[in-house]
Amino acid sequence: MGKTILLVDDDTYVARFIGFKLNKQGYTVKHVDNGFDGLEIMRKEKPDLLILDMMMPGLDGREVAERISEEKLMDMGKILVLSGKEVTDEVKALFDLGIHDYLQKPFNMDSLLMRIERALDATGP
Amino acid sequence: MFTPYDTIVATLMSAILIVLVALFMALVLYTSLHRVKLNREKKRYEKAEEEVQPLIYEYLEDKLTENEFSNHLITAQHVITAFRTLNLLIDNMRGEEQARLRQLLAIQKFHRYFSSRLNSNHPTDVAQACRYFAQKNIANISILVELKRLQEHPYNVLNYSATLALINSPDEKVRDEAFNAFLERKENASMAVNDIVFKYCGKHENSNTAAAILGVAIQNPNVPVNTASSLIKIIPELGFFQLRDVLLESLDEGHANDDQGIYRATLIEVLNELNDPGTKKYIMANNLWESPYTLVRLAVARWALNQYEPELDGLLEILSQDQDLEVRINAQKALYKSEKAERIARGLPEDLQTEWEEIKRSGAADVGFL
Amino acid sequence: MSVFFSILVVINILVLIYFVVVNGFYLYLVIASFFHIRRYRNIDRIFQMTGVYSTKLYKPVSIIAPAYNEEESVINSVNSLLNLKYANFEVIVVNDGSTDKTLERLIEYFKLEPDIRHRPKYVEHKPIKGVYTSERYPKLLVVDKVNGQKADALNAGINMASNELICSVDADSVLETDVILKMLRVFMEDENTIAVGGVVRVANGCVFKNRQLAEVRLPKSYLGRIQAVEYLRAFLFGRVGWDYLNALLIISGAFGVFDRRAVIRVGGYVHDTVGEDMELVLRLHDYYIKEKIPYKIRFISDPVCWTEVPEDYATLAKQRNRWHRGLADSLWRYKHMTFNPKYGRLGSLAMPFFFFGELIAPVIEIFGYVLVILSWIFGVVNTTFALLFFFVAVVLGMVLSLSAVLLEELTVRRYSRGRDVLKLALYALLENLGYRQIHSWWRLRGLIAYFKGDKKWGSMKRRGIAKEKAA
Repeated sequence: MGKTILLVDDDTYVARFIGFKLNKQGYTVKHVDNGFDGLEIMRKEKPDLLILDMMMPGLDGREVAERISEEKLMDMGKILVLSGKEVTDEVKALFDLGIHDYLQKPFNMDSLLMRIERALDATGP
Repeated sequence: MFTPYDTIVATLMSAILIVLVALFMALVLYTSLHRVKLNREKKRYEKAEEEVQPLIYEYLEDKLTENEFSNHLITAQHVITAFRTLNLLIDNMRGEEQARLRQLLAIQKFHRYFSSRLNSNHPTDVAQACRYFAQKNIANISILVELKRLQEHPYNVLNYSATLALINSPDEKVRDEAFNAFLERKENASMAVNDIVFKYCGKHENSNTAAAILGVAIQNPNVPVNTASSLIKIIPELGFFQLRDVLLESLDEGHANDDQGIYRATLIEVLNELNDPGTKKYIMANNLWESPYTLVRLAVARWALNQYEPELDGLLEILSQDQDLEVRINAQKALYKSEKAERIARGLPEDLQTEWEEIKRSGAADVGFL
Repeated sequence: MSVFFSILVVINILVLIYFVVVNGFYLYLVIASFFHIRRYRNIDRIFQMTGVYSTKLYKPVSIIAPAYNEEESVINSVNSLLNLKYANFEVIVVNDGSTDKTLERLIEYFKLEPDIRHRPKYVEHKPIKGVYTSERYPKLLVVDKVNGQKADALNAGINMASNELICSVDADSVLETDVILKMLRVFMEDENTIAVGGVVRVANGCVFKNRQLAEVRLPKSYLGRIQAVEYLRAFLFGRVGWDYLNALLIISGAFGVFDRRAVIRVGGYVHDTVGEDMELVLRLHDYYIKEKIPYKIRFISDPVCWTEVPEDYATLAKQRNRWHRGLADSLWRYKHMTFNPKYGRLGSLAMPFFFFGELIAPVIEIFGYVLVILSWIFGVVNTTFALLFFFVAVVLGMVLSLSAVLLEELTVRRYSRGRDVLKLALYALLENLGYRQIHSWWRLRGLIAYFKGDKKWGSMKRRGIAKEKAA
C-alpha cells in the first residue's frame, strides 16, 4: 500500500518487532526513540500514520500529541497511542484532541494491525 | 650520614612511589585495553542482536523451527541477546505471538546457560537465572532442589526470585508449598509479598480457590504479622471481596503476635476501604479505640472519619485528645461532622484548641494522611 | 631544649601517622566499596515493572524540589522530573519566596491554577502563600511560600506530600530517568529501610540532549575536573564504603529518598543549621537507635543524580566553607554518639573518622605542613623525614584519588571516551598538588567561622547546565 508509518517509542525491541510486522504488511516504517526526534521528522515529512508511545522519558506521548495539535503537523485522526496504563484522564484528554485510537500494552499484534488499517481508511476516499 | 632509619624510610618512599607509578601505568594500560575489549564485546553483542532478531521473526513466521533457531545461537552473546529480546517481546505482546515466543524459551541452550548461572557467586546471576526458571516449567529435580534452598537465602532478592520461579511451576504441590514457605519467612519485604501474591493468585483459574488460600494464610499464626498485613492490604487490589467475613473474623480474634498492633490496624484500614458495615460491631466489641497501639487507634480514627455516625461521638471525643498528632487530627476531623462538635471542642485542653481551629478551616479538604 | 626537641619530633611523627591512617582508611573504604559495587551490579534489573501491575503494589514517591530564584532552569528541571520512568509519583515544587520570575514561569508553562490543600503542620515551616495544580499535569504540585531557606522549603514539601516515600532533590539536580526504579530494590532488600542516598556526580561538561543526559564528559575547567575526581572518591566510593560498613552518616541534599513517616517522626529538617542533610540522617540514626526500632539507612551506587558544581574559586570556597560548618554543627550535636557502644559502627568508626579525618583534618594538615617545614628548617627532623612526610601527605593522596578513578572505570564506567578517563587520572594526581591544600584552607576557615557562630548560606552563580531553551 506504500503508506508511511512513524513509530515513536523508546522501547527499541518492541518497536523493531512492530516495524518488522508492518513492513511485512507493505508499510514503510520509520522508528525514533524519543518525542523530540519524532516531532522533527513530522515537521519535515508527512507520515500517513503515527504510532505514539505514552511513557517516554524527555518528552512524553501526551506532550508530543499536544504539540502536533498546536503546530498542526498532521491529522490527529491518524494517531494511534500505545500505553502501559489503563484508560486514564491523560488518555481521555488525548481523545479530546482527536486521536484515532488507543491500545494498551501488552497488546495483540493482530489487534494493532487492525487498528492501523482502520485508522488509515478512516478518512475515506 | 645514613642511619638504618634513613634506609627504611627511603625504601618505604620508593615503595610508595613505585606503587603510584605502577598504579598510573596500570590505569593507562587497563583503560586502553579494557576499552578495546569492551568495544569489541559491544560489537559482538550488536552483531548477535542483528542476527537474532530476524531469527525470531522467521520463527514466528514458521520459516524456522525451534531446533534451527537453537542451532543459530552459537556464542554466549547470542544466547544472552536472544533471551533478553524474547523476554522483552513476551512482556509486551499478547496472544498467539506471545505463546509461540514462550515456547522458544524452553530450548536447551537457555536451560544450560541458566542452570550454570544458578550456582554462580554473583547474586545478580542467580536472581536472573531464577527469573528464567520462572518463565518455564521446571522439571529438573536438581533445579527444584536448588530453588527451594534459595528460598531460605538471607538476601531478600534471592529468596524472592527463587519463590517467583517456584510458584510458576505447573505442579500445584510445588507451587503451594513454595508459596506457604515464602509467607512463613520471618522478614519479607512488602513489595516482594505483593508481587508474589499477585502472581500466585494469577495462576489460579478460579479466583475463589486463590481467595480461600489467602484467607487461610491471613489467619495462619505462623505467618508473621507484617506479611499478613501485606496480604490483607492487597485484597482490594485482587478484588477478593468474598474474604470480608474472614477479615471481620480476624479483626475480632486478633493475631497471636500482633507486634505494634499492625495486624488489627491493617484489617480496620482495609475494611474501611471496603466500607464494610460489619466493622463497627467488632471495633465496639473490642474497645479498639482504647488500644495501647497507636496504629490501631489511628485506624479507628480514620474509620470513624469515613463512617461517621453520631453513635461514634463518644470514642471520637476520647481520640481527639490522643497523645498522637495523627490520631487527634483524624478524630477531630470526624468530630467536625458531629452536631455536638462545638460543645466537645470546648472541652479540649488549651493547646489542642489551635489544632481544632486549623481543622475547622480546612473543612472538607483532605488531611494528607501519613 | 632536647626535651622540647624530642616532643617536636614526636609530634612530627604523630602528624605523619595521622596522614597514613586517614589516607589508609580511606583507601580501604574505596577498595571495599569496589567489591561491594561489583557484587550487586545490575541487581535492580531483577525488578521489571511492567505496566500490567497495579501501581499500588509499589511504593509511591513524592519528589520535593525546593526552588529559589531559578527562573532560568526551573522549567527544564521540573520537566525532567515529571518524565521520570515510574508509575506512581508526584512532583512537589516548593517556591521558597523567589524574588525573580520562578513562580510566574511555572504558572505559565505548566498552566497552573490555584488550588486548596490544607495540611496539618506535621513539621514546622514558614507560612504557605498558595498551592497550585494543573489539570494537564496531574503529577505536579507547586507550593508557594514565604522564604525560609532550603530546610524550611523541604519541610513544607513534606507536609504537602501524599506519598509514603519522599525524595528530596536540589533545583539543579538532573536525575536519570530510571532513578526511582533503582532505588526500589533497596526497599525490597530490607523493609525497614528509612533512607537511601544515591550517587551525585558532576554534570558540568556533560552533553544533555532532549532533556536527558546524552554523554558523560569532563568539565572544561580545572576546578570542575578536580571536583569530578573528588566526587568520585568521596561520594561514589566513600559513601558506598560506609554503606558497606553499615555506618552511613550522610545523604546528600542533592538526592535522597526518605520514608516520610520516619522524617516526620523525628521532626523534619531543622532550620538552624547549614548542614541540614547530614543533621537529618544523624537524627534518624539517633532516634531509631534510642527507641530500639529496627531500621536501615543505605547508599547505593546505581541511581545517579547529576549536579552542577561551582567552577569559580569564590563560589567553591563558599560552598566548602558552608559544608564544613554544617559538618561541624552536625558532629557537635551528635557528639554523644562517638565511641558510644550503643551506636555500633556509627559510634566506633564513622563518628571518630569524620571528626578526626574530616572535621579537624584541615587543622592538622595545615598545622602539619607548617610544622614539618619549620622542623626541617631548624633541623629538628632530617631531610629524609621531611621528604617522607610530603610523600605520605601528597603521594598517598594521589594513590587514593587515582584508585577512585581506576575503580570507576572498573565498575560504573560512565565516561564514554577513554581519553577522558586518562585526563581524569591526571587530575587525580594534580588534585593533591595544590587543590587539596587550598581546600584545607577553605575548610579551616569554615571551622573558624563555625566557632564564631556564622550561619549564612550564600548564593551560587548558576549557569544552568541542563540548559536548552524550554523547547
